[in-house]
Amino acid sequence: MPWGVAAAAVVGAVSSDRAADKAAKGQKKGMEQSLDITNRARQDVMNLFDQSAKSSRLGMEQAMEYYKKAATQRMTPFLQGNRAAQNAIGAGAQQAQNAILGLPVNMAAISQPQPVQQHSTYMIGAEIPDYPAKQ
Amino acid sequence: MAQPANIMTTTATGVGLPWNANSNMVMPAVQQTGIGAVPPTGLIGAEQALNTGVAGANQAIGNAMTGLDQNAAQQMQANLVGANGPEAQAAAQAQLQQSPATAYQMEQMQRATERSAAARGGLLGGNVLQELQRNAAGIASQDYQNQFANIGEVATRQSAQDQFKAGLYRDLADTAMSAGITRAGMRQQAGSQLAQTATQAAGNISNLLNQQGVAISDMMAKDISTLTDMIYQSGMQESINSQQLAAILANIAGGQASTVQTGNIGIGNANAAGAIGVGNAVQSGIQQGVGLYGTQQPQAVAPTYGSPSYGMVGTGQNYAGVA
Repeated sequence: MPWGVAAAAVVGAVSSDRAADKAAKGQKKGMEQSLDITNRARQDVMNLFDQSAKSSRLGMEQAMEYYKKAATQRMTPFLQGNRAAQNAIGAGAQQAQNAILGLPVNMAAISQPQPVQQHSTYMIGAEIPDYPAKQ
Repeated sequence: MAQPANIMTTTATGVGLPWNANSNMVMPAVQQTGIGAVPPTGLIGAEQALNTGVAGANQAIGNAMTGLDQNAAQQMQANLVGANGPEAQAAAQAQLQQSPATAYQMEQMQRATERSAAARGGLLGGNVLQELQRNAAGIASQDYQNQFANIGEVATRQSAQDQFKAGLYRDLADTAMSAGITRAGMRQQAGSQLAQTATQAAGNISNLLNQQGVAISDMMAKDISTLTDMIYQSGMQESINSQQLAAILANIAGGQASTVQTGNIGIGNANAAGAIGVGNAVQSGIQQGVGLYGTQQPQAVAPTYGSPSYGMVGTGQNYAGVA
């Protein structure tokens, strides 16, 4: 039966061709989906690295801003103390001059307590920045 | 106002030396401060002390000079000899004639002359009057000499006394000046010590105030540094967290992509294997049918191919919350 053998050969050839085609399609679809996932993951990673840079910069900027404001307040007690010290020396010189001249000497003018004012408002500015939410 | 000599006079300001009414010499006023009173110090106090010393010395010297100028016996001698003018001389001589001693001598001389004349029987005769006048002149001359000598002696003694007092006043002036200088030095030294104390106290207080400001500033600096570092570290930690999350997601995505790719390849291979198997079955059936064709009628066989589906297995789309 030559026609039967021929039909079987045709069926075998067709089925082999279909199998190859399905395998190729499967590989192609796998590669496409893998590439798509990789691209989206890359984009996500890039976004996260961008957030990372923003967060570190935000932290540094807020730290610098706080430091600038607080440093100004920090100078206040230093300047107050220095100014009070100068006043004390001036008052002492005045009283020393009085003593040398023979005028009344007022030691209380020297020993007036001059407390250095300390404000704790500098701590109020210390806040953690609002970092962007991770997406 | 006569006062006995060698009397200690007490004034409100001090104790005086022996006081003589004739010379009118008095002690200079001595400034004294009561116990517990605070004397003036410094240059003003020193100047006051020096001025007091100088004033005391001047007063002592002035008193001494006044005493020397006011030697009464010398003045009386000068009046007697006419050095102070004829009027003063006449007054001095009249005072001399009216003195009790001269009157007594005149009276005794007159009585003696009269008794002598009476004894000779010539009372109040011309010779008697001449003798009375001659004796009176002699007495007056003698009294004048005696008075001058006596006054001179008094003047000499008074001068010696005045010299002695002048020496005392000179010493007193020196003492007053020395006391003034010493007191001035003490007051100036006290002023300098006060000034030094004030300067030192001011320096100490100044250091305390300065240190107080520096200490508070340093404490604030530590707090500020700590808080600044905390803020900075929060940013860095947030950054690290994002990086770590990115790395984790990258790993997940990589694994997921690999799984999807492998799965799709497997699906393709499975479908291919199914197609081959179907083909082989059909081929085998055809061959068997051809072999049996001679004995019986062949029966038709409907081929059933597989239906491959690529599905969504392991696509990994949910790794980052993406639906």
